Amino acid sequence: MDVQFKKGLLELCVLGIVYDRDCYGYELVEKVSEIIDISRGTLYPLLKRLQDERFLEYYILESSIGPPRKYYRITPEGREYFSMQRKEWYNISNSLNKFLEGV
Amino acid sequence: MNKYLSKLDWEIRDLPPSYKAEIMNDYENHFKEGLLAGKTESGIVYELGDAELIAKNIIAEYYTEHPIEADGSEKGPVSFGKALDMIVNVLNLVIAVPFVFCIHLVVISLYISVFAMLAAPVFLLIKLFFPMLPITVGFNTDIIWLNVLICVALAAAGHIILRKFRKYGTAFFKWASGYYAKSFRFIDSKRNK
Repeated sequence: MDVQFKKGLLELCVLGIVYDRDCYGYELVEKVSEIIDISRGTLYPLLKRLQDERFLEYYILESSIGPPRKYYRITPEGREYFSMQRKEWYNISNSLNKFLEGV
Repeated sequence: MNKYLSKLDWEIRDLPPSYKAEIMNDYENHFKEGLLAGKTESGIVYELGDAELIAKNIIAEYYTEHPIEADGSEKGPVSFGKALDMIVNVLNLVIAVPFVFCIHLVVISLYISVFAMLAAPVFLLIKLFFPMLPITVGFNTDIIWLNVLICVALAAAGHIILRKFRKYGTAFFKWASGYYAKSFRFIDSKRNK
């Protein structure tokens, strides 16, 4: 599937995953890949952007076995944005599905 | 792993250092975590995706967040490429343009010399009718036929030279004016910002 097409969907996935529970970078990337098949490399700039847009924030926890981990947490603005995008997705996919069935 | 990271680092080199450092840190840690989880380096590389494409993706995301203004100026630090561009343009104006201009003057003076040669017989005639005028033609001698001969020879030579080299001269002037225009357009574009 085309990367551009997936981008909006990736935002939904990322925000949806951290909606209930904070995740660190690598964990988040792996979880998104389970939902949508995508080159994992494209996710880090996306995380940075969601951060800069204040939908996500991070804190660092030292790990005993590996590098320090950036834990991502969703912000209130992030929750709002997620709800909006999810509604949008339902609308579009329903509309599109109806159309495609008729083709 | 280092090959992948170096390639990525190289491809995004023009981005601001702080942004670049943070992103590169993310990818480095991704490798470390992946290895800890038991994946192979080549497996991680494969899952990440082609370094060049990922780099393009990073750059695209950066400019989505930090758009370039309509007139071409960027908010924030100027990339190395832009700085180099500026240096080349300044050097061009300060060193190359004066040099070309000197050659330009030489070519003009050559034209003047050739026209002088062509005009020799005319001056000789003027001198014959008006000996008081401070005109020197050929050698300062009273042997008139010698002077006439010299003047005719000069005119003929001038004519031949002009015919042979005129097209080079014209080509040079045409190129030079284009070159000046391009060089000074740089100043103009900077002034308009």
